[in-house]
Amino acid sequence: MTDLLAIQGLRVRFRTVGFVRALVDRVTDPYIDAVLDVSLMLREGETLGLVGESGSGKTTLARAVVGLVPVHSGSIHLNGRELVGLRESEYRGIRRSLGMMFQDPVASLSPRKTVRGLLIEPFHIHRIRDVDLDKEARRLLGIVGLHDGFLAAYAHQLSGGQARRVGVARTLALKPKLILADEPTAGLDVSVQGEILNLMNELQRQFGLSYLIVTHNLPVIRHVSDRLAIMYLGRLVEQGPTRSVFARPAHPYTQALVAAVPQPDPDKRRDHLELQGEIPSLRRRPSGCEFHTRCVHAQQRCKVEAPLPTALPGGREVRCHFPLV
Amino acid sequence: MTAQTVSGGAAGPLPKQRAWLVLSHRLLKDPLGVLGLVIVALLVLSAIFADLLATHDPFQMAPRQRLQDPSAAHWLGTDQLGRDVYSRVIYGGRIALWVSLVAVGLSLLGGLVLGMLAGYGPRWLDNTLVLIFDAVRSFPTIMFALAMVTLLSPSLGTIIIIIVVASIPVYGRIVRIQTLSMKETEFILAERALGAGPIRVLFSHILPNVIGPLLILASMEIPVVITIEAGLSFLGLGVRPPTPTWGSILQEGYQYIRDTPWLVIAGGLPLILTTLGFTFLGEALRDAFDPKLNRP
Amino acid sequence: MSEPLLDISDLSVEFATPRGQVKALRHVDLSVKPGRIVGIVGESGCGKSTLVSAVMGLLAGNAKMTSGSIAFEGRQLRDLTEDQWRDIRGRRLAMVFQDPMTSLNPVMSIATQMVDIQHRDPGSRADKLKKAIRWLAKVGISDPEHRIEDYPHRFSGGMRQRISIAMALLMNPSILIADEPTTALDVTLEAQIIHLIKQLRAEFDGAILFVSHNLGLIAEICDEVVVMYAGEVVEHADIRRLFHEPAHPYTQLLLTCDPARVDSEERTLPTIGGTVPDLAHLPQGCIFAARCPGAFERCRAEAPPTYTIDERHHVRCFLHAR
Repeated sequence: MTDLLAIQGLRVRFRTVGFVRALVDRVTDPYIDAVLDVSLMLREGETLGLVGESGSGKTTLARAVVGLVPVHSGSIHLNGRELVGLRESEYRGIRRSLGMMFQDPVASLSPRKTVRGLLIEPFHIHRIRDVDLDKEARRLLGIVGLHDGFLAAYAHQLSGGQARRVGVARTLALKPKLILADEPTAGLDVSVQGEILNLMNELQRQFGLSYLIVTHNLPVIRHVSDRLAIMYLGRLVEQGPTRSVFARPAHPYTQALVAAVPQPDPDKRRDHLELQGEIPSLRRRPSGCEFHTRCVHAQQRCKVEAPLPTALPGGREVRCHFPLV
Repeated sequence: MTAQTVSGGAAGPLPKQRAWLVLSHRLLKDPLGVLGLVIVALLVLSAIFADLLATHDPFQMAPRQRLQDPSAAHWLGTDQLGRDVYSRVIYGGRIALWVSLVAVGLSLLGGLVLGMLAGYGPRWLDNTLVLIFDAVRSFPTIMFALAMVTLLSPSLGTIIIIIVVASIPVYGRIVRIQTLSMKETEFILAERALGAGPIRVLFSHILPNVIGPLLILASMEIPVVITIEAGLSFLGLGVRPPTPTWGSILQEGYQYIRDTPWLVIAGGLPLILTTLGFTFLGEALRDAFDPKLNRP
Repeated sequence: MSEPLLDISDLSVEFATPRGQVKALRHVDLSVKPGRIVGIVGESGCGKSTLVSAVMGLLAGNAKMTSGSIAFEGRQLRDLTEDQWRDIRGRRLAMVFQDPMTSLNPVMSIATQMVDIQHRDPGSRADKLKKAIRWLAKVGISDPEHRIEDYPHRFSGGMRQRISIAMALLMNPSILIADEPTTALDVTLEAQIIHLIKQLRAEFDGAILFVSHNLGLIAEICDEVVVMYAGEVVEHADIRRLFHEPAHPYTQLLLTCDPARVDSEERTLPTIGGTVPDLAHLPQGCIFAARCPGAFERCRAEAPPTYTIDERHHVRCFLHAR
């Protein structure tokens, strides 16, 4: 099993304050690190869930892989090829192997184009001429279970579920190897979110796709991912096989996340609150282990020393001085 | 195959013809909109068919029949040189429409291109263009007009240049703002993720979404341009005689107002009607396009 | 013994739209007693937002109440004047909205907003400010005496939601309507807010209407639940009864679809096939018949009335016809 995607020490910074303002306000560090020292791997045919809350950097990470945000340092290898540092024109070719599904299905479709126009656009962009575009458009619609009547529709005429399917169809046009999905079930009712997830599952079987799914929805990701990576304030705090991460979380944050999910059973109410406080601002990162400000198990060492990733049995990794496992 | 559980969608997508029908239905329901449409249509038709509609040659002078009241022969009377006022008004309409369409068209084009460049391009380009826009806008239009007229001598071409230079920053600003806000929307990101380059993004995606409100704005600008031309002509800065524009007819009429009121009426009334007509139509179009007005 | 604080009876609301008359609510009955937390659960298009708007008197201009009544504390809400509404809203009937980023006035300080709400009460400004500060402390805002003077943009989403709750409860309303109060928040913040509501319950003798699409949250906090589908109430039961012995096929299917209830080894997730019907063109029989695995002839021909399973369990389904 080869590594389809290998990310090493990735760092993505954003400038928060303009040049002049920084001078005027005497801001010493006008940057924030949205993604800090992230290393992870994705194998072919695998689904990796990237989980975190606001400010965790998970969406930024996904966008960095597709080249939509500039990378400060680190490396991203796709099938052995380094993506960091590529020029925009070189990246364009790579984008054929990468598909991206965006969070808002209707907003991610250009409002003035018909579904047919949207589906054949990837072929135009990459100048693929020797295909029957109409046939391709129909084929793609068929794969996602929409009938030909939708070819003439506009994005705003579609329901959320239909728009998502069109989004999936679009990413499949150029037969990518890896699809990054940003909150694939956001805005979908519980009774229909299975449709898109089952479709993604089916496509994985059929086409040997790999997925990187970015989400904060734990109950969903538990079912659809093989491995999980938990992010907090731009860092990876834990990763490992989904089953074991859920069953026995190693990092206190993971445990808090799992405990925070309300269970649809009135006999399983929780009376105590696992996690107090709010996520610290990216501008003022806590010292040492950045989670120590909210961690119930925090000790002196955690406040001063940042933990390094430690390997745990079962293909797991955690960034904590006192892992729970 | 699991993908066969298709959510058909309650109403299904609306075919393109149906959308147009809904739009025109809404437009026609607004009485002012219909009135505007009629007036604009009349203007356009009279401009196209001026040769057929005019009764006399607008340049033909007949000094012995000067300043006559409306009659069977001269529907709006004659001016100080004996020329048929009605025919001059008709040809004036053609000129008004032509000038405004060219001026607005060029401004639109210029504003669109520069605005998209400013919004989508690098920061320094944006800053430079905005600086230029603001500089031009802060310059008093009348003085600019005076300067241009002095430099280039009065003519329709000069008027067009004046209007285009003064209007491009206005459209440019609007397009820039729209482009800036659209740059970060999900669908633009999605296009970039697919590999689309900046040209495709700008022309295939940003432009179609920006042009709608811009066109409606432009259509409301047409009467403004016509009025500006009239104003400049009235001030003597506009076209040289004997070209028949509504503004020059007004100006001449003003000089001879003690002899006959008809020249002023002939020059002024078309201006008023045109402005009203385009305004009503533009407002009605704007309302008809707005999908959020959930009226039946 | 306890009179219902809110008594909705046979409520129907229609909207006039270009597609026709959309019958957003049909014959809704709901009775809310003091001290209870009533959950309203449903998916898109079920009508829960319309219901909340109707109760608050905030229906859009093209809406019409075509049948039924809403009685609040014994008064009919239908015929209230705007002035009478202003007396009720914020004081007797309070609401916490979904989006904490836009539900507070950005140009007024928190202090001004919290004192302003109390304007119809007697008392000095200083007293009202003190009361506001006490409530901010109760909802967990640290250093409330100073923070109250801040403007909303200086607070995070989670804190703004806490402030919204404080503002809603400070007038001791009879009913607090919480409309998806945690949907815009991260899951750990959500847990905090739910925990907060549970704690504040002791201080509050009114009732809470908790609207959500999240079955987990409903299970966590509510005493009884109303399940809505496409504008109708299809089931109403006490919390344990609903989750352990659901009567309506929609409720049963909804529970099976919840990923937190599906066996974790299972990769594919169940769904309810089909779509919500077009509310402008309603089908003839039961609203759920097209998607119901247990539907039979009668279901497609007639719309079922509400049957009583026992005193507090009602269901709109022919499978429970007596």
